[in-house]
Amino acid sequence: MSNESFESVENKLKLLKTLVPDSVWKSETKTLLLTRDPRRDLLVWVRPALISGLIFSFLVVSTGVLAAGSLPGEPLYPLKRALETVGSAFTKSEKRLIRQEYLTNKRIQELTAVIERNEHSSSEALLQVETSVNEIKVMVSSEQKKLTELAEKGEDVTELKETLANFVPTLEQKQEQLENIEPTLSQENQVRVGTVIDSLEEIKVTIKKVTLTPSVEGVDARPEEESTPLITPGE
Amino acid sequence: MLFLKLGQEASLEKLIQQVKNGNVKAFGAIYNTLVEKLYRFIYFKVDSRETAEDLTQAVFLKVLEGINKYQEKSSFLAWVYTIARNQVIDHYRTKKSHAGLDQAEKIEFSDKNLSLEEKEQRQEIYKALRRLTKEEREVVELHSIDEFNFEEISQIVGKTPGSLRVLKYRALIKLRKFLNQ
Repeated sequence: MSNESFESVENKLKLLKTLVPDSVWKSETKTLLLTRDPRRDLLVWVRPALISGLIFSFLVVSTGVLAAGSLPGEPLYPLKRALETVGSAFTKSEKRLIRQEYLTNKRIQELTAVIERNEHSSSEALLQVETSVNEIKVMVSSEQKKLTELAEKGEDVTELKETLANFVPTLEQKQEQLENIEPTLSQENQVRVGTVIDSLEEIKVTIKKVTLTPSVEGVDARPEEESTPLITPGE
Repeated sequence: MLFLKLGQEASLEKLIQQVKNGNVKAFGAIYNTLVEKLYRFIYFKVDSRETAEDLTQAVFLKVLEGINKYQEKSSFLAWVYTIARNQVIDHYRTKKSHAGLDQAEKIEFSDKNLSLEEKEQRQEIYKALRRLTKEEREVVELHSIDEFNFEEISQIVGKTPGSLRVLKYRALIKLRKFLNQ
């Protein structure tokens, strides 16, 4: 076990230094490293964030789409209503009545769909219709008040009157839809739908009163100071 | 040798600082210093020229990406070799194969000028080297072939210089025996 023999082994091992990478590969890799786009470094971190963002967006959108088709009593229905509330919050004040009419229409469609599927869920759907009609009532009352104030100031209220007047046929349409639904419901719910139809009638009368009254007499069309809902939901 | 090594490490530190200051060309100098050693280090673990090239490239990319985060308190070589070691582990994890470590294949020399006799001689040494344990092989590779000192190897493999000397001694005894068979 002499030192010479160890030295000989060491010398033999050094021969393996000739195990080197291919010179072309070596030079190409160096070029690749030195000319590397620094933005790639950013992408290393940004890419996972982008993918996560896309997955999150996809989940949000797909949940939103699923929620949009949900009916009262279903798990995603509260989400649908929450999204609608957010949408309403971003609606211009002059378009709010139209939006509410659109939402009421949706509630009636939901009620129809629920009845077709399952009578037991119709109470919840009916509650949604009642609430929606109540909101129309509050909005019409507010528009009526606004119209009266403008008329008192001597401003032109023709456009506002037209908007309200144009709303009457859609209310009639809803009454008709509800009248068609009414016979398919339980006796208790029939009473509730009857009250909703009556409420729509009262809204129509209010609108007709303010729109048909000459502007100078707008004061006569002044709404009651404290607007009470025409229907008590769930009663 | 030790002074040369210390000088090399100091020069590496200077280059690292230059890279951190935005001098990409300084990375070229780091690459030139380490590429062959890292390639061999990886080749001895994967036994394939192509795989060794891919993994070596991946290691340098990681070094380039992470050099700004490298803390100068620790050894740069230890940091680079840890990346290389992890790259090899990831490679085997992905491939779900441990072939290569146990299969003595023919060593792939890129030098076309080697004679058949020279290639056979190297092949014989490589075969003997492969009969050592993983730890013995690593210390022999890093000390005898790549010429790192025991202090540096201790930073790379996480063993004390004393235990590495003992390991190397045992490895040489075994190698002498294998080569004389």
